Amino acid sequence: MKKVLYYGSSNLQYQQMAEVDEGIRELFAKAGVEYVVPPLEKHCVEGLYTFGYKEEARKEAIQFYEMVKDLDVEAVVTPYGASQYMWETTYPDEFGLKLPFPFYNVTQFFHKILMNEDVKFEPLPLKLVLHDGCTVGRKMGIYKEPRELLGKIPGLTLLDLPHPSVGIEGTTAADWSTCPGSWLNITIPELAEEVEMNFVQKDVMPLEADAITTDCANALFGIRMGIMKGNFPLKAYFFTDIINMVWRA
Amino acid sequence: MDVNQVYETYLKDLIDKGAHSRSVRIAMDRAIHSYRTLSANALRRFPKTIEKAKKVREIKEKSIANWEKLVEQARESFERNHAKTYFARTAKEANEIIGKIVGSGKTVVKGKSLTSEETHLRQYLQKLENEVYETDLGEFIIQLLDSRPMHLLAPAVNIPREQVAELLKKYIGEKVDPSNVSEEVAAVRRFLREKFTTADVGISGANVIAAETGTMVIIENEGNIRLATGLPDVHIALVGIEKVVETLEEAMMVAEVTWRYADYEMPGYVNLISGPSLTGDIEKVLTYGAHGPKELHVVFIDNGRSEMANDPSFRQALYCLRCGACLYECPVYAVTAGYYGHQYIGGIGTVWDAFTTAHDLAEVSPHAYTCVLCKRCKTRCPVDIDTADMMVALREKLVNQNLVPPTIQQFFEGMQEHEDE
Ligand code: SF4
Repeated sequence: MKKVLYYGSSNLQYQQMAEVDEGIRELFAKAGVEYVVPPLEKHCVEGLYTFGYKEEARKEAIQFYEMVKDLDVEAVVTPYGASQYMWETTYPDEFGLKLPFPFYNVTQFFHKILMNEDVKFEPLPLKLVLHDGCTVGRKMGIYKEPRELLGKIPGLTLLDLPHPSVGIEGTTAADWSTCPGSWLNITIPELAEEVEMNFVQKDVMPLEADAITTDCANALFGIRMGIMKGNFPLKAYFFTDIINMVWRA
Repeated sequence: MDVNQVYETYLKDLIDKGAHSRSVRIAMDRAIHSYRTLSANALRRFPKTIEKAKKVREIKEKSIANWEKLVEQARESFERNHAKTYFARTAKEANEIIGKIVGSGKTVVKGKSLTSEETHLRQYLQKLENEVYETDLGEFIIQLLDSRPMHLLAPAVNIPREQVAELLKKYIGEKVDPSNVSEEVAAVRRFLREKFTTADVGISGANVIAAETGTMVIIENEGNIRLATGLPDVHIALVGIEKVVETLEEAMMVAEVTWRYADYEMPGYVNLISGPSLTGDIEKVLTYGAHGPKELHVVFIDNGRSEMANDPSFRQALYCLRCGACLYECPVYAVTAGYYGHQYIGGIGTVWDAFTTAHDLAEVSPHAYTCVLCKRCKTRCPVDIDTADMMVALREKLVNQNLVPPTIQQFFEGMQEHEDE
C-alpha cells in the first residue's frame, strides 16, 4: 500500500499527545508509506452520534464523506477505534454512506507490512501489558494483530488484562477489552480520573509490568490520566511507539 | 424537572458518597474479587449453564412477545390454586392494592424485592402505620441506613463490616466485634426471629413465574424468604409482568441460569409457591391455611414494562434476570457502587429507571451519560443484553427532548463553534 489517509492527527494534538502523532508519522516514513491528513478538520462524528445527536451526526457524516470520498488513497489508517467503527459500520448502516476504501487500525495496518520474515525487531526486555481498546477489540474483534506483532519482539513479555469471562468455558473468545473511562472526561469529568486511576490500580498494577500499551489513542489518554492521578510507576505507550523502539527500517 | 439541578445532585452523590468514599472502594474491591472467584467456580463446575443461558434468552424473547397472554394464563392458574391475583398498571396502583390487603397497624416482613423498591412499597406501608421489616440481611442494613440498594443482589455491597457493626449498635442495640461477620449475622438473626413469628403479612417478589401451573420461583440463600412467605397468615407477592414464562420447566431453567450467573453453584433454597397452604388430611376435606399462609395474593405490575416491550430499541431490557453479573464488570460501578443509578443500578438499571421510576426523563439524564459504552457488561450477561446500544437510544431521546446534562450541552456547542470557524 503506497498512499493512505491518516486520520487522527489533529485529535492527538488536541489531546496533547503530539508525540504519538509524530510516532505514527515516523512509522509511515520508515515503512515508505505516503500519507495525507484530511484536508479540513472534520471529525468522524462518533461523539455526536453516541451522545444521541443522530441527526447532527448524519449531517456531519455527509460532509466528512464528501471531503474524503474522492481522495486518491488506498486506505484510511487511524489510531482511534471509535472512528474506524463509525466509518465501517455506522456510516453505511445508519447513514447510507459507504466510503470506497478499507479502514485499518494502526495495528492492523502495520501488521500487514511488518509481519513477514524479512522484518526483524530489536530486543526489548520489557514486561508489557497490552490494552485492547473497547471498540478496537470488542466491537471490531482486532485482537490478533497487536499480539502477533508484539510477539515478534525478542525479550518482550506480553501480558493480558483480566478477561471478563474467565472461568466461563465456551466463552474463551478473545475479549480483554477494558475501558479506562476516557469518554468520562467529556461526560462527567469529575468521575473520569477516579475510573481511570482505579483501572490502572486494580487491573494493571497487579500484573507487575514495566509498561502498558494500547491500540486506541483515546484509551491511551485515559490510561495516562489514571497513571498520573495515582502516581503509579508505570509507563504508557501507544502501540506505534513500541514498534518504533524495536524496528530500525 | 431541571436537568442541571438533577446533574448537580447526582454528581454530588456519585462523587462524594461513591467515588471518593474509602469504605465504598474497600467494599467494592472485596465484592468484585469474591464475585469473580465464586462465579468462575460455579460456571466451571456447571459448564452446561452457558448453553442453558442461550436457551433462556430464547425463552425470554418468546415470553416478552407474548406477555399479555402469559400473564392472563398465570392469573388463571393462580386463581385455580386458590390464590387471588391483581393487575396494577402503575406503581401507585400496586401500592394501593397491597395497602388494601395489608391495612394498618400490622407487622409486615419483607423479602428482597427490587420491584417493591421500584414502587417504594415499604415506605407506603409505613405511612399506613404498619411496622415493616426488610428481612434480607443486605436490605435490612439498607433499611437501617435509610438508603437504597447498591446492587441488584447484594443491596449493601458498598457497606463494609466495620460500618455494619456501628449500625447494629445504633439501631438494634447489639454490640458486635466489627471484624467478625458471623457475629453481625447472628445479631440480625436474633432481632428478626421474633418479627418473623409475630408478623401478620409476608411480602416477596419472585424471580420467575410459570404461567401453566401458576408457580412462582424464588431463589434465596438466607432462609428469610421461607420464613416471610411461610409463617405469616398472608403472603403477598409483587411481580413484574416480565417475570412470566410459559412452563415450569422454562421457569426452572431461568432460575438456574440466574443463580449461576449470580455466582452460586446452588443457592441454599429454591422456593416454589403456587397457592396458600392447604391440607386434606382430615376426611379429605380441603382446608386452606394449614401451617403456612391462609391467603396468597399475587400482584402483577406493568409500570412502564409494556411500553418497554413495545419499543424495539429497549425490549431486550426486559430479558434481564437481575443476576447482577454485569455490574461487577462495569468500570464505573467499581468506583461508584449503586450511586451510579437512580432507583435501579448501573447501565441496565438506567434503562429500567427511564421506563419505570423516572417521572420525567431528566431524572435519568446524567445516568445515561455515565455509561462508557464499553460493552464489557454484554460479554458477561447470560442473556447477551446490549446495554450500550440501549444507552445510545436513550441518549437520542434525551437530545430530542432537550434534556442532556450541561457537560454534553457544552460539548455540542463546542462542536458547533468548531464547525463555524
Ligand atoms: S443485564 Fe444481564 S448481566 Fe446484568 S443483571 Fe441483567 S441479566 Fe444479569
